[in-house]
Amino acid sequence: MTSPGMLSLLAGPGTGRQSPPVGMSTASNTTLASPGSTNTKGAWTQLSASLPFDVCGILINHQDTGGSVNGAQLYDLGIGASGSEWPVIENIYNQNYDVSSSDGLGNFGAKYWPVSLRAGARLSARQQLNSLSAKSAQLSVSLFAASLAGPAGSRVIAMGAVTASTSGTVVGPASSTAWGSWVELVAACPVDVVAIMPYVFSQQGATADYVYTATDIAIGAAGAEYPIVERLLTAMDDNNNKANCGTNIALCGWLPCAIPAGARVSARMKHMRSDANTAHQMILYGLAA
Amino acid sequence: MTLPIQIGPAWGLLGNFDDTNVRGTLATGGASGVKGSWTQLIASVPYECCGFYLSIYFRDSIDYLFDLGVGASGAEAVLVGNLLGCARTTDANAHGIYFPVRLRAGVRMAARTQGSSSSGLAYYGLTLFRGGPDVISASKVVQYGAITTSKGVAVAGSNVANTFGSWTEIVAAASMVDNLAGLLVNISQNGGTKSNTFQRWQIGIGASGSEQVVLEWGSAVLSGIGVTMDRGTGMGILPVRIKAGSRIAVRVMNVTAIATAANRTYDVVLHGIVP
Repeated sequence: MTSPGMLSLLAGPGTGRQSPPVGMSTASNTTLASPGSTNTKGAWTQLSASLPFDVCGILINHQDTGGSVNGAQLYDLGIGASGSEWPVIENIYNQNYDVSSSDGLGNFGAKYWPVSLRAGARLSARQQLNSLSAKSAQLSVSLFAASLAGPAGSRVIAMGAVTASTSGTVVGPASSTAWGSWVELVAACPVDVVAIMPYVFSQQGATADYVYTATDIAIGAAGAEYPIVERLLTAMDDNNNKANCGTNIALCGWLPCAIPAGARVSARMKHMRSDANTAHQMILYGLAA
Repeated sequence: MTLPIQIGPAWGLLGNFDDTNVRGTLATGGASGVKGSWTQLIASVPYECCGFYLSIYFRDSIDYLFDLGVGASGAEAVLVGNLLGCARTTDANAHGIYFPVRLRAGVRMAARTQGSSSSGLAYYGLTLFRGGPDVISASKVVQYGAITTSKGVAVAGSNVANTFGSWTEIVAAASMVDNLAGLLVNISQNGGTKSNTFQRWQIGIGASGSEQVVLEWGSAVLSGIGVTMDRGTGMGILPVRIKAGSRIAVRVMNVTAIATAANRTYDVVLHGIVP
């Protein structure tokens, strides 16, 4: 059942002995620079001046800080010298949850991104907010050491991210338990994608009753969508985007689905109960070969 | 190529799902702390799979342990055992995890449930991924730390801010008999009333007093919930490789001082991906 030489194909010795994660001091993450205007990326903030070893993937650890209102964030992880940063992961979405907390909380948690980074690379991040009064992101990054097995993906693209409003594409039908229509996330996938990670989330600020949602993802022209993933179940809490044991921003993880460059990508959803605030949004992250 | 995400062409199609109610198949728990009967999810997997996405929907306000099995009725073998779940009645609770575990065409799949109270309800849904030639898969999933009271090993943070609690053994070296190619971290509340804080977690291997960190991450805790996105199984399977015979331990640090022990204690179960 297992490929010969399986172990040799697998990742190396975990995070190595990098402690604490880059960007973390004791138990606090690095606060990203505040953007100068809404829905516009701010300046890059350095998380690591030089990665200590070749990396096959990173775990991004998230918390929020400051701010006076709950809001939404899109942030990029980049590599390169100061002034020459290149986004290796673009438009990671997060919603603030508890604006009253002095500790700063987001509902993003820690998430794994299988990107290949060279030792010595400078790693930095930048963010945009839908309100300049919203909480800012604080990040650190756990590093997974690469083995001799070969690289992970080269970068991550975000299909369906709406930077103009710091949000995703509305896919889920509101006030309906019927399957929604297919909604286009991207007219033409810009790169060959070898794995996908769906994010499904309630609209920032919406207060929906608890709901379970099934999501299908397809490629193909409008009216001729061909599903490549069916019935990914996600759960949404009954208060304003609280995270709990279940999913909120979807926890589907990385799925082994290839999407060729140029393919139109779309999605549809079905909810287990009807609620005016179930017009859920979606961003589909794609791992480029 | 890096496990656990398996790069390559594949697609995931419907295994079992109740489209009307947007959930999978119900498997009811037995008496308190006792596994219920196996319930069939799929009579015969239609094609060889490189992995599957398992969704579990649970809403009784109890602690859960979930088993996924393969095999004929009456002869089921545990494929993924003792996934830990912690539910609150007023919230939506679910696991959604991709397992890069190969399934043969024709295999029967079933699930069973146990809860900290009798007759806990859980719905299991499967999306089956058919892999291409360059997709690799693991053979099985092992678990360490689940206990019969439907909880995991209790791991307590220190009552001093920015200070690690003690290392807590999850599995002894003698009991860890498989090489692991990936790790799924499963954390739940263990009661108490959690307050807002930020945490730094470490997983280490080695003898007591000589633990070497192999995985470290940070995450926020939400007041009254205590379980954030990366809790449960939200981080997914991570490419952490651990040799058979390794003792595995866990410890946690809080950025704020939390005086009451119950409020800084969590259940931990670890699942290992065996190549």
